[in-house]
Amino acid sequence: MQLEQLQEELRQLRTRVDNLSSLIEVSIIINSTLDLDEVINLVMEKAQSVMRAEASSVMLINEETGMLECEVALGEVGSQVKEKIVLQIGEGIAGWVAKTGEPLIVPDAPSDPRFARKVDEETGFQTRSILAVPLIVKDRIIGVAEVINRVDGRPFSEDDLHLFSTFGRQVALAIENARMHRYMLERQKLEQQLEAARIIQESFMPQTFPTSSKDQFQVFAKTQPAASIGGDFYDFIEYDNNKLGLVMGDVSGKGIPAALYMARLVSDFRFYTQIEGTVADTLDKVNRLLVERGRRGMFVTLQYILADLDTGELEIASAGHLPAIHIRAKARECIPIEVEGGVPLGILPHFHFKTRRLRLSHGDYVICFTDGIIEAKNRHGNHFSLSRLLNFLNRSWLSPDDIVESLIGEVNHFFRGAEQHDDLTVLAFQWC
Amino acid sequence: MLDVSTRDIKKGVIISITGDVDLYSSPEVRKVIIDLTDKKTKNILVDLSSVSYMDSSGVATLVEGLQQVGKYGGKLMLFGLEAAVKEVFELSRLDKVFEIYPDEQTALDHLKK
Repeated sequence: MQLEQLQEELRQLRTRVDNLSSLIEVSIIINSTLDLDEVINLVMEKAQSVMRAEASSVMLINEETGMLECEVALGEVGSQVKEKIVLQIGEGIAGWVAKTGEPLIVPDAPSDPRFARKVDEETGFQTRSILAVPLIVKDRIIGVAEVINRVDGRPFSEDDLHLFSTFGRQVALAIENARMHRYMLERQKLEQQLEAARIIQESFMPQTFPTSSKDQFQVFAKTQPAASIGGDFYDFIEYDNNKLGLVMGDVSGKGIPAALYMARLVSDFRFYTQIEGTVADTLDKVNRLLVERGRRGMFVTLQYILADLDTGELEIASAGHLPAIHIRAKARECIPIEVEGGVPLGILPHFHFKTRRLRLSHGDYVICFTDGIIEAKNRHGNHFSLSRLLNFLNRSWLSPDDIVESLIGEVNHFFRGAEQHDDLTVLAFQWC
Repeated sequence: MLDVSTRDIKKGVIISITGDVDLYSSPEVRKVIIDLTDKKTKNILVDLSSVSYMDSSGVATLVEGLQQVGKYGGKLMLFGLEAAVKEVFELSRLDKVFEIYPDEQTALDHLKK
């Protein structure tokens, strides 16, 4: 009698050791690969053999449709189950477990009212008993794992439930790991794209600023790109007749498409500025080109200022861009340079832009900027605003770089603690 | 989350958009608009009364719609713009590009003319 008892205890201990070693194997499998299908397949193969079951499956909740879909199905009719079976939450044994989050032993499936017969009807399989456990990640039910029909014909026991629940936790963990990995990969990919966009954007901006041998002017410009990269850009065009072109623009959209659009525009723009005509004529031509090229509704707001460095006379045209600001050094006042009309480039093919003329006095500044400056939002949801900008600029400045650096510093100070949504770009020109 | 629904009216279709229209959600709006312009829908009215934020990707989607209807002589009108969205259009002078009306009735009245 005692010998029999000892033999039984030994048998139980062996089973427990077997179970534990299979769980260790499972954790090794999970850590060895991040391929979700492969992991679940391997874990369920192991589970099915340890549980001595005829078949097994893992169903996951599709977050978009809210339906339970079969991720892995092993056993005789596994491939059919995987292709055909989709359950609603609450439908069938798996649906019940997904709904309640409770594990379930079903000793006699056909007589259980919760059992969905369609699986057997479609596959010809005969389900006798089921053991189902929920897959839970951070208190959220993501699916259900099942083993079906014990090979010895007996129903699943409480011990089986305990062991299979442990498998279930491992599967849930594996799925979470693989999803996190996929998420990280996608994020990495996006970051690489943004990095590429940043490189494109930077490579088409002037690396050095024009200087005057006769000390007639000074210029400085800077862009502080947002995380998702807007399409801000600026350019300087030097002419033989002692004129200097200042260009500032903002391409709609973000990322690589905006960066490529901008890169092409900068070189096209340079080309068209070499053709005779007013600044408005240049915008007319570039506008027609962009409309013809028409890329998914992309457009650009742009400002083009041509400065005569001998006389201080400016020619200004604007395509839906925010007005530049004229800082009158002697009068100590800041005035937005409004230009009539001017819709963004790339939308209306027959639009005619207008040129405004303005004469600077020695020491005056002209400041161009993009909407990222005045639309910068602080934690309280307030915008930096045009009036704050005018107020900030209305003081005496040392140089264009003093203005640009101070203004960008001021805007950063304004939205500290909040996210930067758009590029911040400022260009300052002084007629000395 | 963004929701885009359409409703047929006598002379065209009203698209109602609910949510923020930005880089991530604008493709959904684009799909609906392009489906309609592919069918050469004569008048497309876009209800923006439940849109509190729109970035330039969103505006570009509407610009594309406007360009498409222009090709077959259709119309794309906007109505119900909230102050913040209206400002986006005004800042870049796009209020001169689009037909913008305060509400659905005013937009419909204009169609009748």
